[in-house]
Parts: sequence; structure tokens; C-alpha cells
Amino acid sequence: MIRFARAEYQRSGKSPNIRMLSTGSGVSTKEIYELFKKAPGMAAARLAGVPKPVGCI
Amino acid sequence: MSDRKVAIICSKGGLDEAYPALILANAARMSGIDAFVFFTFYGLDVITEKRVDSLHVNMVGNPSSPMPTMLAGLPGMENIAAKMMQKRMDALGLPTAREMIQTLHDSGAQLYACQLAMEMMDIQPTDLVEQVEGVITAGDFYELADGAQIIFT
Repeated sequence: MIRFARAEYQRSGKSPNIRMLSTGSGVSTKEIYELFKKAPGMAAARLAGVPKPVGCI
Repeated sequence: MSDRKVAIICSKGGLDEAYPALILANAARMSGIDAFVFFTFYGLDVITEKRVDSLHVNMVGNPSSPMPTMLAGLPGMENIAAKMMQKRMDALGLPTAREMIQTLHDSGAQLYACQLAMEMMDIQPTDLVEQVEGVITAGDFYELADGAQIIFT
């Protein structure tokens, strides 16, 4: 997930949201929420060293 | 999980009425806020297996509608409006209502149906999508919503 977040940020200049993280890394939404109990999109972005994802979805 | 909690009441089943509830619930989970959604009256359409894929949008009596009310009431117009809105949403990459419900379920948000509304509209628990946690009363809602911020849509 972290590798995907970095790659996606480098490719598009945008941090992936949870939906993109899931489809891009193959980790299901359910697992993502189990890995990061609180605000998974932001936690993953922080670990990957990219800005927090923007958007409502 | 979290100190903050939101309880969202979804009482309408139009595309433009269901999405705000679904998106707010999902955004809450994304922000680490506990969320549950209570579907009542026409909001039940959103969690009814046969209806969730064909949510419509009503332009009649809507002052923001680009269509004159006289025309918006013609047969088929509602369908066209729904298709147009769905197209815009697809272009933006918005998930469908069914996908949103699955995502909510996976993210740990809880979805509940209103018992009274189900009785009124003769909807059986088996008619609901499988992601629904249960059928509850208004009293149960308040018990679950203890300490939550309540949003009515």
C-alpha cells in the first residue's frame, strides 16, 4: 500500500484515497480499516510520506 | 475506535438525497469517526435489493432544476434526469450507491433499517441488501446514537 501510494503520488501528483489504495494495492477496504483503525487514508499517506488525500470519497 | 460518532438519518431515496447521506457516512469513517446510518421511509430504497440500482432524481418542484416544472413532470423525465446525473457521477468516478453501501459496510459503518417504515411499505428483512446490520425502532436509534452527532437528510 505504501509503495502504491508513493508511486501514485509520483505519477499523478495526488495522494490516493482509500478506494484507490484498495484497487491499486489489492488490499481490500475491510483489511485497510483493520490495519489502520483511525483515518486509514491519512495514516497510509503519512507512512508513505505523501500529502493527505483530498476529496469526499 | 473513536471518540467522535455520527448518526445519519436517511429519509429520502432520490439520487440527490441518498448520496449526501452515503458520502457523509463514508467521509466520517475515512476521518476516523464512528458512523451509522438509519434508513427510513423512502430512504429504505437505498438499502432495498430491488431498488438500490435504480435510484431516481425528482426535478418536479425543485427550484434548482434546470428543467421547467411543467416539463419535468412529463412521463420519463425523471428517468432522463436520473440518467444524466448518474452519467456526471460516473464521469467523476463516484461509486454507485451499491458500491458505497459495500464500502460503508467494509469500513465498519453500521446500516440500519427502520422497522415502522418497513411495516408501512410492506418491506421484508429479506428484501434488504445483506450489508444491513438490522431492523430497529426509533427508540433503538436513540440508544445507538448516544453521544453521537445526528444528521438528518
